[in-house]
Amino acid sequence: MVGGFVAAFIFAQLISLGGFFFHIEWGYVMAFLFFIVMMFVRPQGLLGKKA
Amino acid sequence: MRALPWILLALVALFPWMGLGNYPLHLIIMILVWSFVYTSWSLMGRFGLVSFGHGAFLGIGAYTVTMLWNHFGITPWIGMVVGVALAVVVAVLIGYPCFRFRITGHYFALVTLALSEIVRLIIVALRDQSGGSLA
Repeated sequence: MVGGFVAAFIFAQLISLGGFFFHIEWGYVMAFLFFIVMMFVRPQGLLGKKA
Repeated sequence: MRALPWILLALVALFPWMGLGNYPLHLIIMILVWSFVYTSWSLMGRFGLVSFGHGAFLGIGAYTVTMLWNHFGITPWIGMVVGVALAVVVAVLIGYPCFRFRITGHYFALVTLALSEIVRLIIVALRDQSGGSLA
């Protein structure tokens, strides 16, 4: 639950900061890149423990 | 009957020289494009992995060919090889970690969905070069 909250916060920051400095789409690109990298690095969740 | 597929293939290859109008030719091209798309997707489904990333590779190939032609005047005969090469590079970049970290099932579907969104958003973000969202 806490990890989901943190992830939503990071997503929002990436989208709004990326959209502020570049085109709005680049914010979403960075957010989805973050999603893919986290899927590879920590598939159990941001704060989850290994099963 | 063994020759029937080859006759059909020759017929398909001859479409541009049959003197059809622009609109029927456009329809035939779209039919072939979409048949390619759903064939690739059904092929992937048979391997037990659900991928939503096919649009990404289709988009990379299509936009590489067209942008090389529009901006640099490079003929599509070279461009299609470059487009395939770029799509393969992206596929390896995404596919190898998926294989390495055992990303399967719903997680694989999510990763490929994110990949297709990334490619779509990059195309829209480069609207000055790519022409923006055409949908």
